[in-house]
Amino acid sequence: MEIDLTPLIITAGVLFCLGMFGVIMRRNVLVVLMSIELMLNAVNLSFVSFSRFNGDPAGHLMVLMVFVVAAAEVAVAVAIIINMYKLRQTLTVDRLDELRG
Amino acid sequence: MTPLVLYLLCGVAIAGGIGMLLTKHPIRSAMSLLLTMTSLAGVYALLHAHLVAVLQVLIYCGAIVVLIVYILMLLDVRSDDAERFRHRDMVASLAVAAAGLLGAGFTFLGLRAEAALAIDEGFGTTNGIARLLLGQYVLAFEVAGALLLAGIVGVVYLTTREGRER
Repeated sequence: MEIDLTPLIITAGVLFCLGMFGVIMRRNVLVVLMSIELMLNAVNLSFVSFSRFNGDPAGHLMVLMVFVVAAAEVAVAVAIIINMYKLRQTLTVDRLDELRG
Repeated sequence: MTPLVLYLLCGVAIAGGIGMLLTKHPIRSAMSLLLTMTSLAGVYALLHAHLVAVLQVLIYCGAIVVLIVYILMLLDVRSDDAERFRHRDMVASLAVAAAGLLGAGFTFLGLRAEAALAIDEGFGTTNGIARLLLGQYVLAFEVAGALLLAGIVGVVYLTTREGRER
């Protein structure tokens, strides 16, 4: 029994849609952050799958770059969330409307 | 044997994603996300992406999830989602997600099932990846380092009081 590409790509698509759903639906800003991480993971899975099935290791390098971006993004996002929490004492995205005109 | 384990891990990853969306308390969401990331590391290992699998555990499970859990504990987050979802957006986002899955499905119909190409000896190992990273793709490597440095400077500026008052 050989490994097939299709289930892996379907898994990546489903994970991406779940992450997108979380970004739109959840109200806690930390859960929104986790949903973004889920979407990045889905993209990584498709990179690794296509890399394996094309026999080209360049996809792995792209995954490493996504790791770097994700780590920097989470660090900056957490710093922003801490500052927002100090300001408003809430993590609900609907109430974080400081920039609303 | 290997495909069965692979598909099982894919199923666990999807289950973790669904659990992350449906649980009320943020710490349970973080634990579900940890489950998803760990099983994806297993998928990477089975796809011969050994270095990526190790780095997935080190960076995602070890750094990012721990950072999020740390912030959850620091801010003492209760499950203050009175309504778990914003119901007014439910229909719209379900439609968006369904449209995305439908588009993906049509793409898969066009895919031809092909066996994986043969891979050479150094595929996915630290040696093979490092030769590419410090050879052909060295510019991306340096830009990634500059991005991380900018991130560090930004975070230090954001989190220290002296930085903002100056």
